[in-house]
Amino acid sequence: MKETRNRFVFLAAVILVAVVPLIWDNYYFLSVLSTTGLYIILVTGLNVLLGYTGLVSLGQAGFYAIGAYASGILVAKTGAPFVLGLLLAMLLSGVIGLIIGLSSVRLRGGYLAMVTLGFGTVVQIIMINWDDLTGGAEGIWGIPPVGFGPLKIVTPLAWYYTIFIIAGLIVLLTYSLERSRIGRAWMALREDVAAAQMMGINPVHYRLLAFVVSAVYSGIAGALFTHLNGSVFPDAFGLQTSIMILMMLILGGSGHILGPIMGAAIVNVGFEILRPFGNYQSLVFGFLIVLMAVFMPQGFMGLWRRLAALWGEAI
Amino acid sequence: MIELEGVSMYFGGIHALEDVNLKLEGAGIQGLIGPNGSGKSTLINVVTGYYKPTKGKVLLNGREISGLSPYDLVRLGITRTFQNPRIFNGLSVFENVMVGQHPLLKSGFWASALKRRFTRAEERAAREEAMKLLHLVGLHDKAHLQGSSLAYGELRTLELARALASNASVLLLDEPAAGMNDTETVMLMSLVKQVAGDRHISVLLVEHNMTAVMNYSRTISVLDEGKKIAEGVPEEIKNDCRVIESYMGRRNK
Amino acid sequence: MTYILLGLTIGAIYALIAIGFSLIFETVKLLHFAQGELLMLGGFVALTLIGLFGLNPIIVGLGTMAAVGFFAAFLQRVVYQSVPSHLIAVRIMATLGVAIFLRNAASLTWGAKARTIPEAFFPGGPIAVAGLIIRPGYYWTLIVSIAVMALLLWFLYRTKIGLATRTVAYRADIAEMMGVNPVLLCTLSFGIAGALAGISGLLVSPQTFVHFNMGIALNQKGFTAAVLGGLGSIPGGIIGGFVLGLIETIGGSLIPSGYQDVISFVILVLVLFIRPQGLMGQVQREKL
Repeated sequence: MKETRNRFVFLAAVILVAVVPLIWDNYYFLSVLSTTGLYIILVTGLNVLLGYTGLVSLGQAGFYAIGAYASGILVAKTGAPFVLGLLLAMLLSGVIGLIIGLSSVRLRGGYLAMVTLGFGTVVQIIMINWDDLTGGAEGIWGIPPVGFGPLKIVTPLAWYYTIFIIAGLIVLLTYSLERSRIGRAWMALREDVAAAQMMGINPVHYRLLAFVVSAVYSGIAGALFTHLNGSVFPDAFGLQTSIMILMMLILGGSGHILGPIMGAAIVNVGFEILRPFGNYQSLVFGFLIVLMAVFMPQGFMGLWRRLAALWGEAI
Repeated sequence: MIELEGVSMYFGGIHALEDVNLKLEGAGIQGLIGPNGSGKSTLINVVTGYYKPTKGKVLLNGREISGLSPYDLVRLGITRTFQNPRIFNGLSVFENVMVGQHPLLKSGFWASALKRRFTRAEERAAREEAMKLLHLVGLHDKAHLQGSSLAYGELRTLELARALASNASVLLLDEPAAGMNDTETVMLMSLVKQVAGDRHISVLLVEHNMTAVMNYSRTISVLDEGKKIAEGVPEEIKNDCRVIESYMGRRNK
Repeated sequence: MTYILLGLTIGAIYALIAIGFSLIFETVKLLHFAQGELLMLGGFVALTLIGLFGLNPIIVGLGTMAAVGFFAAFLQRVVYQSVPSHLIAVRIMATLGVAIFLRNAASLTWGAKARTIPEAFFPGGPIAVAGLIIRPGYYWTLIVSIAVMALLLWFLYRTKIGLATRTVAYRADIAEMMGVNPVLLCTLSFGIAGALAGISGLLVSPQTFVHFNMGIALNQKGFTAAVLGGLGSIPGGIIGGFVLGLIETIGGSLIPSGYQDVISFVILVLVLFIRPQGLMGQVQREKL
């Protein structure tokens, strides 16, 4: 029942993703969708950390940046293939994720939020100031196209598919984790650390794992960002981005596998809808975040769950 | 067999436990009583690894385990319930019990992520076991409800099921009858007694409810101000003047 | 020597922000990520008041404090209190939303250009102390902030309302039983924190420009100062602020200027790891 329904939903989503751009061949549209794909990966990362394990991290943009720059610098300076860039991004962000994760060992809630916030800020500062390596505030432009051997991913459509294939794999992987003993261990830690310990769950181990997984996901998204655009620059990795990721997660529904997908889709599309507001765009954005916190803290999936429960009782 | 050898636990100037010697062995229920503040909960925390004893040792079958973490001790077969039922509110009843099996399952990160055959088989077995446990404690019809929607008595039962899920051989119950009426208490205690016998578990029952302790424990130890002041079968303890004094004295203070 | 003075001056600002953080954290149990934005608001309100009333320090100073104070109280009463979730992430997100809103509202209302409070606003002329020339902006910042801190300490420790506020911070349920209205006091705490932020916005101007983005960095530094002194402790916030100001200014002279903001982050991490309760805070034990 639930399993088959989920499989059906997933299949429908795959078909939708595969077919939509072919029907609607519009560059701008593809660009928004590709960005959505990147955010699905980023928000799924935060979902592992916050949704499953209950760790508040406001520094996801930091790992995003590390992945983006790692791959970008490697390819720009050595002409390495995409796969290597991706692997370096994953490795670097994973290692730093581990280090930052160590701070979660001793810190709760708001303190962790502040440290991760600081981390994100520091990464951006370093990217801006380490001119020789990162190109400073300008960033690095004109990175040669990447791909698999002679087959380069160049067209927006090709990137769209690449991003969504990777996003799809990540979502599948995360879903398996969610329903496994690992996922249960994470959620137990979110609910009650002392009781979780009594279930044989080592908080340090699983929290670090959550951090590494979430950092690696962000690193992957970073590498994809860089090569999608052919450039990397510090502006894209600021506090605003981290906040957007958080907002998408909460709006979509924290702790649910579909939450990130819903959140990323709604916010990205919504942001584009807000574009005509021009200068007021961010203002409305801030206002909506507050509205959401007040009226819909459980997000869409939370609402869905509530409705489903009511339906279940009614039947 | 758990043994406390000269265990003392100091928090700054407070001597929560003072040179306590205690043995917990054999299938069945042993009681631990004492007035408020006598150190009962501290003792549980020490045995289950939340505190490391300031002095003395805790031994499991002769091996020292003092200072090991709770999550390591669970793997050695020692588990507990809490004074205020600490179930996982955001998870369903069924999922709560599944978490309990965590130390028994072997799938690591990659096995779980890739859903290997071995993992799937393990999960299936775990699900069956979880349902069996829920049937045992009478919560199977509430399996898919949110943990937070259970009644108080049911929370206690769920905690018990969860503790049993790890296949423990030593179970410490921290005031399981607190907040329950007589009927609920009897139901819970008979369940504990049955399970202790069937699964060969040594249960340490820390309780304030005298009826429960007297009716279900083989032997009883008494703590007062961190020290063990008496030990014996319920009949002896009931009539022991030191025990009566420590409780009466408390009330008059 | 100049560095020490600079450090103390900026430290006073950090202290004011830190106190605001601690006060809010203690009473409402919220980490107010928009505190820096309140300061920014203070700066702009001050500029507007100067435009309306001229360079009158009393009116502008008090007016700024009142305006931002009331606004902060409004935020608590209308916005933060309405967030039904007890989840930290959601409440933090609400404050972040407010911060974004304020930043953009400020840039739209007052423009995106960086502005300064005119030098002439601070009465008197430069004075000479220990061989240094100190400009009015700097010594007034020190004088006013210390005065405000002293006033606050007097209020919290010597008046009935202040005592009630501290009780609410300690145990809201006990406070209620004693006839105190926790809601009112939480609103009051926010109001006070807002007033502090407001006056800091005005006083920080000798060192920085008034600019819609100025809140972000100051937020982090104020928080670091609060943590350094012990989150929740008002005296701790004061000490933490001055210490951070000194370390940052003196340390900042030794490293490339772009990296100056990293100092506060490093201090934050160090404190949280070595002594998370800060200099004056209390150790929190997890109850089992």
